[in-house]
Amino acid sequence: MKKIIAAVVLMLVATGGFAQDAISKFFSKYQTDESFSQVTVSSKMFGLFTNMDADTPEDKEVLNAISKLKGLRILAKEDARNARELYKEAFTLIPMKDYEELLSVRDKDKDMKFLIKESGGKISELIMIMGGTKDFMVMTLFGEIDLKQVSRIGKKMNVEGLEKLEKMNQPDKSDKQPEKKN
Amino acid sequence: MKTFIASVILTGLISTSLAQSNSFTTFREKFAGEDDVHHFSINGFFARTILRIATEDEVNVNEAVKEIKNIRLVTVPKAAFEKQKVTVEGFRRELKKDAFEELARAKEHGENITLYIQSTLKHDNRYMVLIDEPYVVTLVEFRGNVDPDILLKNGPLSFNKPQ
Repeated sequence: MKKIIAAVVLMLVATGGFAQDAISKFFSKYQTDESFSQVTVSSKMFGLFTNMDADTPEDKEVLNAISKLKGLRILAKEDARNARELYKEAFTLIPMKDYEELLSVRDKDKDMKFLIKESGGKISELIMIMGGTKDFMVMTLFGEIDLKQVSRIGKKMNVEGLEKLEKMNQPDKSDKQPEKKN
Repeated sequence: MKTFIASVILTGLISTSLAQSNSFTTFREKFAGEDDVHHFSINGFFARTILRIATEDEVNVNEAVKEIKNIRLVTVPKAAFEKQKVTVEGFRRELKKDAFEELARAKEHGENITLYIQSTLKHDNRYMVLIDEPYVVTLVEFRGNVDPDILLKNGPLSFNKPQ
């Protein structure tokens, strides 16, 4: 009986260990590499926004969205000769079967991909991977994510790239009803 | 009686304004007397004045730090850590024991910056910034309340923004 309990506990611990954000493998691989920049923001930081007063209803929505976040991690490399290789490598280390592609942006000098993990109709993780000619960045935001607010959250936190999601919130011009002719 | 009450209130006010977290005191005392260990402490008014001068164009920063009551800083060379046979990681464990919770951490060019908070009363938090560099460790403690919006905007996250 003790062995069964121990096995169950071990399995739970192991599952918990694996149920980390997608870039944990990336972090583990490059955490000692001084050429990489790393940022981690804890849920405590996001929790501080719960008690803040909002001036406008819009601000209130953003604060509410921020307070539901559980964490943020960034791994980035500037002036990287191997930025493109790192970008490709990111996709090999991320368990892609668990994610859906949300948006893909190809600029003249960089590629960007947004992936989401959805469960029970709620987005629990957003990943942004960016690879350019010189720069590489992978970011994961986890918790309860409101996609409508992500670009505003990005502005609030000065995270470059998230503003690309703003376009998703704008109504598509093609969706406009044709005007009736009299 | 009035004199007694006044002296109690005064003592309370003084002890509140001088109160330091256990971990900051432990850290400072551990390395007291070692070579190149520097420590200073400034009150809120002076700290805010310096911040205003340093960030004269940043209206938001002024607004965010208006509730800071005091700032204490200590710098310790890594050699002193070796001499005392202690580590930065060991001090992080002390911070945790002292109810400091990690808010954010950034690592860049061998510099590891961590921001902690010890939530006490409303608008009277303690913040600790631990800067671990290759040759020196800097510990900054400030008391009061800081707008979390500013902590995020001007914090470690802004590194990926073009200057």
